[in-house]
Amino acid sequence: MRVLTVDDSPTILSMLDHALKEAGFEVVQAEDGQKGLDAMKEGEFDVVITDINMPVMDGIEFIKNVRASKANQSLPILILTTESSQEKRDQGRAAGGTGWIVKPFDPAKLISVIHRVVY
Amino acid sequence: MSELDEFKATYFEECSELLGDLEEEFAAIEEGDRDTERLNAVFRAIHSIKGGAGAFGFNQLVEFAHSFETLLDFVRDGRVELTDDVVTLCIRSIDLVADFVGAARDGEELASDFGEEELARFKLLSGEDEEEPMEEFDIDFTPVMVNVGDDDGELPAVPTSDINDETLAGEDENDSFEQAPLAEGHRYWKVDFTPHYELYERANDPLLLFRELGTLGEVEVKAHLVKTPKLKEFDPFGIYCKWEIVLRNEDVSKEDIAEVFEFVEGDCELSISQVMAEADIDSDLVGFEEDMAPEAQTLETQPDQQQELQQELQQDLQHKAEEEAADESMLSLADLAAEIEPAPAPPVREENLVEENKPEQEKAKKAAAKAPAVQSIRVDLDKVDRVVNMVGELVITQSMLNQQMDDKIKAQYQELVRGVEVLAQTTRGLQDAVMAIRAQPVKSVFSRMPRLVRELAKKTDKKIRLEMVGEYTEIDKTIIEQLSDPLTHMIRNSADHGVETPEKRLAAGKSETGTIQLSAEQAGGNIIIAVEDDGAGINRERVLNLARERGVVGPDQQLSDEQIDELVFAPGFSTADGVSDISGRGVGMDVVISNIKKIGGSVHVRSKPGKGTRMILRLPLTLAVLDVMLVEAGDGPYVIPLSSIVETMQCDRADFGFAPSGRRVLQIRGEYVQVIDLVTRFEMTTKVPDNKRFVVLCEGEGSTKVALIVDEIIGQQQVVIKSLEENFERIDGIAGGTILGNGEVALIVDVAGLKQTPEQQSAA
Repeated sequence: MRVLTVDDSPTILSMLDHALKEAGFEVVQAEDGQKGLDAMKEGEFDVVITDINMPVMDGIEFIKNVRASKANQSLPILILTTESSQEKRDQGRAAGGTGWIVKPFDPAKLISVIHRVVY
Repeated sequence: MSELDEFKATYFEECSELLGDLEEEFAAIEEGDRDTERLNAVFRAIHSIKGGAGAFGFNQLVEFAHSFETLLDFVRDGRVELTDDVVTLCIRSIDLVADFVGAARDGEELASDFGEEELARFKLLSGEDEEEPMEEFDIDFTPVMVNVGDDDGELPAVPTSDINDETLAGEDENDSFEQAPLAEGHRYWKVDFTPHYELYERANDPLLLFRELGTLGEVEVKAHLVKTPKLKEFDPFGIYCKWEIVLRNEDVSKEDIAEVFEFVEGDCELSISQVMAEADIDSDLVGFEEDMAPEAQTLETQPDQQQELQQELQQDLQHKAEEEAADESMLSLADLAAEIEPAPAPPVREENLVEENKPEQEKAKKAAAKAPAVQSIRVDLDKVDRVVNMVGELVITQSMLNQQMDDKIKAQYQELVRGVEVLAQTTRGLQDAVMAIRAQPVKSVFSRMPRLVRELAKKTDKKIRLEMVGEYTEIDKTIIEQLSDPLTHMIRNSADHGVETPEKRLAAGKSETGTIQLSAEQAGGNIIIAVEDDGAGINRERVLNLARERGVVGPDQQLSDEQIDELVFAPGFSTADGVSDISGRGVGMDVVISNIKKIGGSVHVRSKPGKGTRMILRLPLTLAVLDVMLVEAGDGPYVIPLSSIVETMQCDRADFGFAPSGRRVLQIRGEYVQVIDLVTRFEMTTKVPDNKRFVVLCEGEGSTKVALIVDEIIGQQQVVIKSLEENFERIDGIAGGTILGNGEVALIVDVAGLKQTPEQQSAA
């Protein structure tokens, strides 16, 4: 199973990478939404995990771009969030986000959330 | 390193980058640049610092960053005005964040009231209630009870069974259950679930939800295939189902079930209720339905309406039976999967994103154009170092090959010679390329200095302008990390002692504002970093008197102007006023300088009275390759870092004497210098007569000198440093090893370490 992780924080990316690889996923990293879209041109993914606050292209814009493609309409997209105001999370969902992962996440929780949205 | 330590290392590296960015952004903001993207960038930086801190449980940092972030968020959307005061608070707070990060890194606990004042101001400014919890670390999902009835009129989604005349009775029964739980029979959960179209739009899938529910206990899923159209009218994206799920596990809470549906909240109608059963429910549908007594039944449907719906449903079901024989409304999970698979938005992925998405692509391209065009990857420093190391080996092998080729071979094998020449060229290119990977612009250190100068100017009531030249000069990453302290000290020195007060400057016929120029340039194999001011210059008389007072210089010792200038860096001289409350670490200039020397650098100062002072840091381009002098002592070659050598002379021209302790000293220009014979120091013997040997005068820690006696001086060259600790063990007085062109191993003399032997200490 291939996972695309999009976050501008190398810490979060490396933690995701470790947890996901431990669980047997193949992981591709991108540092912002634009790089995320680039990665999606290169290959197919079973699930996408994306941060919201990012430079160049933020997570909301990224999700909208992904969903705009018919090919990606049933691709699960999980939003990484620490926002207290729920506002960003709701924006992410409105843009087409499938679910969310609350930072800081523990690896087991992360994997279980993925299993909730991927066959 | 454990995994957690690795994550932490990544995090702290990220933090130092982010803190550097923050400094830079706020410097621009302070100058009046209120660009939205700048404000977004500072918000993101603090946000990222907080995010990581949360992951590692650095709670003090999380709390501080959270309030800081809130303020920045308010600033960003205009709720808080970005006044000079707020900017000053933010700049000060970046320092505090750095302190919190530093404490977290060093595993220290800061005082619980550290940063309290700023924290209070954040909260005051953003109107944040002190008691407000940081809810983002909880999952703040609240289950919502939704009416099962459909109100969009299109879908008479009322189930066939759960609306019946027993509703009231069911409620009564439920009440009695509340009063006497577990008294009668078993309880189970009943979930009514009707997805909306949006649920599919967001790539959620009922089947996955049921599977998830299945992890909580035994489930039975019943699909109500209401309004299933004829096949030719069937819209693959249409919603024709609603579900009724029975979950048989008394230990599961309502919240557990609600959590399964948290991602589809608002995208479906959902009702979760607990039901009492007199007897065990078997899979017989009718019995099961009659036992239903939903706790949270909120539907108020008129009986006739119900009848109508039931009739309609029955018709529908019959209709469907005729069409497809899909009249079984009770389906196992597996059956269900087969049933719903083709229905909602099937995954079709052969289409390309590029084709699909033209306008967005254009936009994305523009966004990409705005971003810097440099593409980069993040590589573990260890990996780069491995490459650096191997290239080092390659350089050695290549020079070995070169040395092995005498004139005879050269004449005989011209092709080989050409090959070796190309190899030499390629190796040199490879070495440069690898060094370039480790290199970073000095800008990351330089960018912290404008603020330092502003603060110093404020503190000292002087007017100082900072000029920076050559910020994009690149230098080895490890060296950059060592640069911050010395630069801080040098600039502080210039601001404190160099630049005069505005009055004095005017009196001296200079402009009111003093200038400090910070410059970086590459010169040969070195990077020269200079701090130059147009101040009063070093007051040599005062420095000399002070040095005499503190015993740094003997009462009769005569010093040249240059030597007096260099006293600024002497240990014991600068500690009193050199301890910087700005760097805050209480580290004297001498320690800073000795750190520079440890990495193969040197420090010099030139001053012209009345005109200004120039302090020069000379640093090697890289740490991996060292400029050395190759010498012979006893039975082997040794190398001495060129940066620590002051001069060399023949022994028979040197003026040796004996100290009262009986130890040999070298007298040079009125100074007595400790003598260390490498041969005796490393317990070897030599056949070279004393008068044919050489003195290598070195400068050790804090410009104290030491005279090394060696058998022979061979020449200068570059060597690749190999760690002795990694390959053998630590030896006092030896900094490492290297492999010479002929394959011989030479040890690198650690001049400072030589002095610290017990023997020397007792002699002192």
